[in-house]
Amino acid sequence: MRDDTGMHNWDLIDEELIRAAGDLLPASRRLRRRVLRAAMEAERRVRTRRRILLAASLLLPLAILAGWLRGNSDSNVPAASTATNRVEDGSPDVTLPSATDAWGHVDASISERRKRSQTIRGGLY
Amino acid sequence: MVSTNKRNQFPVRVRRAALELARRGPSALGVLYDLTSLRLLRYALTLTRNHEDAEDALQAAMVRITLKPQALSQAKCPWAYFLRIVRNEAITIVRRRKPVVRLSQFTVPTIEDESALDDEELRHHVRRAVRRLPPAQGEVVVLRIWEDMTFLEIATVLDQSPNTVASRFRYALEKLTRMLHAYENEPAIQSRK
Repeated sequence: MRDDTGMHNWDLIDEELIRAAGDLLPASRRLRRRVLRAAMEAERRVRTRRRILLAASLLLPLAILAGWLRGNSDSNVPAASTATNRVEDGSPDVTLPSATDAWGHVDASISERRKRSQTIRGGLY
Repeated sequence: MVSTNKRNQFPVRVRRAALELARRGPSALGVLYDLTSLRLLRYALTLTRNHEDAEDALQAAMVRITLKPQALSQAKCPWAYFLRIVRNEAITIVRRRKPVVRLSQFTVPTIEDESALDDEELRHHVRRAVRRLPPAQGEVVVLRIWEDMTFLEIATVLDQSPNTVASRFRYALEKLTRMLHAYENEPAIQSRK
């Protein structure tokens, strides 16, 4: 890159000049240890987390199943049939709430609300 | 000059190391580290302009690769993919960093040697000039010349069009030429001659 006068001819700058300057930094054992250790630790943390999640995903259904089985075997817990008012004497009669019982309170409250809103409107206008 | 054969071999070796990492797990990370770390560090240094930050970027990238080795081994070009990870980590670190003005960037080198510029000095000044380039141009120079990548490969790493990459490279060379020419005309050097 020098001409006859000993001066560099920068007009001729090309890839080769820059390429020649592209020395790599000296390798650092300390950095190598640090990076590898950090990578190992991160990998171990993730592996442990995965194991915990796997164990939880296996144990949770088992725990639910065990609880359900225990609940069924416990005589103090009311049977499912009690909730539906089913007569336990073997007869097939089932006492279900009538449609009036089930929806009557809804109708009553709606009509009551209408009355109230009319009263309020009457007061306003 | 890096031969074409050598140029083609490096990405192949990276791919092999990546496959080994995916197969054997973290115990094979040392091979990949030894193969790539210095090049990755040099590239990260261009972006961060700070040695500690470049090391942090390298570490974060290595951790990421260790946790998802398949991503690297199954990449179309593992070396370009790895460079991209380092780039992302370096950019994240630079964004997080508080703005600090380093005095060392502005110090004028003292030349004590009586002899004319030797090759080592010349290389030193070229390296310094490359580091002074804007990061977007500096990284193109590093990838194009020191990593011997094509504009198309660089475009993949930077997620830019090849034309943009080529333009940045041209601007970088022009800027380097100006910087080195200015260095040549420094009074200290003129007086020595």
